[in-house]
Amino acid sequence: MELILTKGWYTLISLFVITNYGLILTGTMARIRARVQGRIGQPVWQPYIDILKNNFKRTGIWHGVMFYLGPVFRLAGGLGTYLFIPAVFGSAIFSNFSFSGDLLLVMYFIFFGQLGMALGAGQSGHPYSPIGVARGLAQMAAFEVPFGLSVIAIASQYGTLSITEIVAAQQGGFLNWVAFTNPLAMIAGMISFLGMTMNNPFSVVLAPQEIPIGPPTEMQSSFLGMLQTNRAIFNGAKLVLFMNLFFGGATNIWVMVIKTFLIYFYTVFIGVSFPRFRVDKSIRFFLGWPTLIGIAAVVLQMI
Amino acid sequence: MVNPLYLIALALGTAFLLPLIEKMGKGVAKTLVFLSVTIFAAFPVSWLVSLMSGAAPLLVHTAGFSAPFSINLMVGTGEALFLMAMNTAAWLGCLYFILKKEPLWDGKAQVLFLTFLMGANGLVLTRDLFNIFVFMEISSLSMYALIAMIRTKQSYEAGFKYMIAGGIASALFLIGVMFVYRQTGSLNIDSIMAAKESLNGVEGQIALFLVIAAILVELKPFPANGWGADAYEASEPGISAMASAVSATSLFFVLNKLIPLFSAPLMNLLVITGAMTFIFAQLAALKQSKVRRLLGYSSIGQVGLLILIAGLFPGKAGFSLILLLAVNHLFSKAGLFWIAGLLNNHERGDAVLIKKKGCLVAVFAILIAALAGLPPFPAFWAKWNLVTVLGQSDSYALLAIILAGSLLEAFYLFRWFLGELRNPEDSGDVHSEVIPEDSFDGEKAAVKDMFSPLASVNAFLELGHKGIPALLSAVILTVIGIFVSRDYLVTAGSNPLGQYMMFLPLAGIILFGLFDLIRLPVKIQILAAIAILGAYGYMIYPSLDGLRLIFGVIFIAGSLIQLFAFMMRKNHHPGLVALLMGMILSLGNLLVFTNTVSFFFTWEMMTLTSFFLIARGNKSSGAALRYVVFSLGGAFLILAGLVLSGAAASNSFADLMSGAPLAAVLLTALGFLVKLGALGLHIWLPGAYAEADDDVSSLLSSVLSKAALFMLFITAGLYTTDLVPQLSGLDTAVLLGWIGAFGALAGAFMALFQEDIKYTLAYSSMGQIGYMLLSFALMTQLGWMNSLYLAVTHLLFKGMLFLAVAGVIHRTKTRMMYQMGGLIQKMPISFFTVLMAIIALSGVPPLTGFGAKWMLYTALIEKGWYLQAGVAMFASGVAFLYLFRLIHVIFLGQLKDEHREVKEAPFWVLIPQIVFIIAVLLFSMFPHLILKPIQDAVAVYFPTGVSWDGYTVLSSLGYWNGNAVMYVTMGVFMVPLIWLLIVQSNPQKVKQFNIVFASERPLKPETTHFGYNFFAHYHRAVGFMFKPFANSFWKGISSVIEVIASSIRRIYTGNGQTYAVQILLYLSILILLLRGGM
Repeated sequence: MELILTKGWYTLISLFVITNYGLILTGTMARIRARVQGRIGQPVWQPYIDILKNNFKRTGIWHGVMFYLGPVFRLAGGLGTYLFIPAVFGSAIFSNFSFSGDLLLVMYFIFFGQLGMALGAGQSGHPYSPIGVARGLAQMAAFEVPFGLSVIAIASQYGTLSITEIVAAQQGGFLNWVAFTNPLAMIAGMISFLGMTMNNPFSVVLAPQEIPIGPPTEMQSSFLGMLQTNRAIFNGAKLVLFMNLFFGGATNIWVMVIKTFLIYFYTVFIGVSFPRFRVDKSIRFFLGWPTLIGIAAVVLQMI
Repeated sequence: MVNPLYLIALALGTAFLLPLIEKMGKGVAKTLVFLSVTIFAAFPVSWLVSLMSGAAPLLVHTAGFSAPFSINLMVGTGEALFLMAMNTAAWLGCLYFILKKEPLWDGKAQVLFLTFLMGANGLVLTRDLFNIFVFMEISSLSMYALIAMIRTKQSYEAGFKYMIAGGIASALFLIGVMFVYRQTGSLNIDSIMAAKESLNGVEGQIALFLVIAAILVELKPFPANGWGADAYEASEPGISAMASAVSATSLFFVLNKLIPLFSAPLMNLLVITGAMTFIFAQLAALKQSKVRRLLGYSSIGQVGLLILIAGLFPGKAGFSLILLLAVNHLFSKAGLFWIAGLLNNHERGDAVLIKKKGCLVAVFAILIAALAGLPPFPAFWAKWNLVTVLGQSDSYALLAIILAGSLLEAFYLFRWFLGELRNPEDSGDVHSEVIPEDSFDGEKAAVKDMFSPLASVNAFLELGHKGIPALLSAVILTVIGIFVSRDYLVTAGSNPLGQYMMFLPLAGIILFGLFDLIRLPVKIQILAAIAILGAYGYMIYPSLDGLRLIFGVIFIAGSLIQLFAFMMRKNHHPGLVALLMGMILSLGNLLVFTNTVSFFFTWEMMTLTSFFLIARGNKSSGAALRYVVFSLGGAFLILAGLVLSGAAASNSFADLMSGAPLAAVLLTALGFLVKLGALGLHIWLPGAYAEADDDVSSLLSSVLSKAALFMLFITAGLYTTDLVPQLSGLDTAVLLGWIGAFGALAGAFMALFQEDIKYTLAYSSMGQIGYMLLSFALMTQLGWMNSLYLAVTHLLFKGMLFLAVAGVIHRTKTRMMYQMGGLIQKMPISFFTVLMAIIALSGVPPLTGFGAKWMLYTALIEKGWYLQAGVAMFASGVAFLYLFRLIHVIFLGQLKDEHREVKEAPFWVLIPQIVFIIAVLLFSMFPHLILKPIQDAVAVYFPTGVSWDGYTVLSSLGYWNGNAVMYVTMGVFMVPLIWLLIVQSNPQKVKQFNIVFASERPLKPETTHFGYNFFAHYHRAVGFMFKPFANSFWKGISSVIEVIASSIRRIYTGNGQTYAVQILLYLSILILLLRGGM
């Protein structure tokens, strides 16, 4: 019983940290983006305000049970994804529930929230929601290919699919990171990461500048608040995952903050520098060079 | 024994008296002729009874002298058996004319019929060479006149052409007989045989050649047979039936009688003629649109096969084969001619809607199946035997010719069958989805209720008394078939009860067929079927273990649960339950077969019953034809594999596994892959699963598709054979693995671009089968575990999907996804089923599907198949796309106005869905419940690499704790849910169109629902890679065959003089061949 209580306590701490870190990171990056575009931008704490405002709206509308459950699925997906990843190597608090499964579990649990969200948005009956979902899924099925190949390359490199062991194998200096021991896998993975974060040039899925599209179209009040919370956590989870896979993980929370900040910064950097792909172009893009690089990484492991 | 001379006297006496008797009334004359023919049929029976009870063969001398000075007749067992079959067919033929009230069946025709029958009987009985000529003339002359009986221009011409050919043949025969007499000094066949050496010289051989050539010409060899086909086409079908069943059989018997006289080169002529005639007649039939001509070519081909066997296997060994084939051909062909006569059409498929006559359809189906050589009919066993013997004597070319010819024959016969049965709305060549025209003016394209009873059937009355001869032929064939099957299947000694089990599918079909006759409602039949299946499962359970037990659960329990869905049907569905029982029990028997024969029998029974089930679909004729051709092609490949490996000859299935040559391995593997629907060989699959009735589709996809997988597991040892000895590692299994991986990808992509929900699911099945094949091909513990795990879970989620969709189609009357939408409000349970199923299929934790993904990638990476793992991951991502589309476009989005009154799916379809949902949840929560038995089953074959730590499965690469995942998921789901329930306790429910639409107003659900061409961008990006390449390939093959077939047809000009020249040319070629061989 005591064991379960301790685990519960650790989980709460872990979630608290990642949520706050994710929110601040989002705010910071929004500000950086604004500066590049020559604006002052929002305050760093704007994400907190948004979530609170949405959660305390006096009115809310819903379109049916699935619509109601959609954001729940989404947040559960974000939380679950994070909880199945060991965030800090060797830390009891941040090891989360990584004993439930290995890298494959994380890769597939990412879909859980996306599916539920897509279904919830679908019940709204708004045509723009499924249009965004269709674009997002199509792009996802494309960037999963180089990502999958880079995961396979790493798994064969270290002979394990356990994230903890992959991180353990990268300890002892930055030259042991996958980024240096298996650069092709890292390149393939990091290009897919651009698609995964849905920043430019792969942002047509959400089309943030135009008419709203994608799952959030019909979401409002606390439903939208929940989605925003999730975006922070889910972003954090993905950043931690990529840090663990390619950049040696983190042995304490500060290393984690620095590394994930830099990884996120990389996507923003690319995002503000490049225009946007159309969906069919981005599919072809991911199935082109990144996939070939991924295949090269895998073939290198075979010989 | 009764003297056969009485028969001749009877025929001649009745024939001479008939003109007088006809004056007393036509009825009297008809009765008298019918009685005479009855006596004809009764005589051989009495002979057979005496012979069986030990009497010596009867030799009758005429005119008081003994042979060689007189003509003598002989009645041995062979003669009695052949005459019994021929005369029974003649009796049925007579009955056909009487029941049909054929106006042409007048005194003259009856006289001709009697003399014809007498001539044919004489041919079988006589032992005198010259007498053969006499009887040949008698029967031929009568036949010329009978052909012209319907007095059309065409029939006169055909009779005349027949006469030209017959004239040439008679002249040759007579000259030959003269020379034989000169050499041997006798006309008596037995005396000639005694003096056989005197025929060894060139003169003797030429004499025999003339005799043999004459008989061959009469038997319509390729290419000198245009006149024969014309005759079959032009005459009344009842007469064609007699020409095929009686005349051809008697002439063939003459040939067989003379065989001991022939030397090896002459025998070779027979083999060559037979083989050529068989294959080219089938090709010629392929392009035929005229039913009678098609049947005529088929007759010619069958006789060719008989000639081939007679040339290859003289003596007793060949005789049993010949008897089986001849009897099978005689009754099936005569029956089909009679049916063609009843349909009263010339072109294929222009007499529609015999579908309503259940009994006629059944008879038609039996006759077609018998002619095509499917079990349990005699021809199946004859071909099995023939092919086995050919394999032993290394005659691979003949083996190939026989299998290819049989496949062609099955193709055009089933094409005819399906064409007659097809619904007027069915274009007959639909192999992929058809998107209806837009109908924006509020009118929906009418889609017929998929579950509407085909028609209510009053079986016997609607068959009408006219169908009785065909019905009797079918009964005779079935009874003989069952007895012959017993001879082959039940071998003395070991476990007779187990061997009789092989008859259960047949017994099921017959029993439920009888239920249909007494018009037992379908609901009661289904309940009975469930009970029987339960008892059957209980019975075979003790004999199952390991792999067999797992597949037993899939086959028996999986089918049993899905049978409940059929309870949704109302009224009568003749044949439905019978075929279901036949198929499911065959599947069950596949688990317990004991030897090669029983395996192949069961396999073909399964093909046959599933084909007829698919053919019941509303617009399934094209799909069913593809299914049966590919299934039979696959079965023939397996058969060839069995033959080449020696497993067919030794009748021990295990022999396939020990030291089979590479060719046998590849053929067997290819055969199973066809049935599995592997990439490249899959083109039958989408149509078959999609166009069958909705509840049948579910059973086919979730249960039947595993039959081939089971066989792959059983024969797994074969596929690790090195393909190229120099390259170790390049074995069949690697090839299978790649086929599986790309099958998964292609299936997923094809599913992505379909609008028709059933085609989506069908292609999805193909993709899932690809995963199973890939995992199987790994040949490791984890790989096999995954393949089995997928087989079980695929049963659950694909059953759920197909059944939920069946309910939706039943309610909405459409299969096009974009025409649905918003159905979650109306059909929440179906929605929940589909939701559970797509989570389980896509591999999203926490449901069962993730286990499959985990094992798949772990096993692939362990084995070092990285690239295959990459392809599988891509496929899995794409699968996610079509699954979302499926659930979104059907259940979410905008509800259409015409679906506002739609109710939840019928109770009976929901039952299996709920059972499957419970199973999925149980296996997700406690994966060890299913994984441990699978692990035990596989443990026999591979060293164990998988271990358990509580609920956690450990592999060499990673770990997975299904139980913990489930709890974590529930936890992270409950927390936000509770939060939302607190802060959003009373949200306002709004109407369908109350959405934030940017400066527009939604017009109507149809224009607001995003569903059509959902992944247009994906198609634009990579669609070019997923054109139906396999389709084009197979279309190319079939068009090449068709071109060959049409060019063959060109030699049949219809001109009598051309035909005569062809006969002479044919003879010249024969003599050249003979000279070359002497």
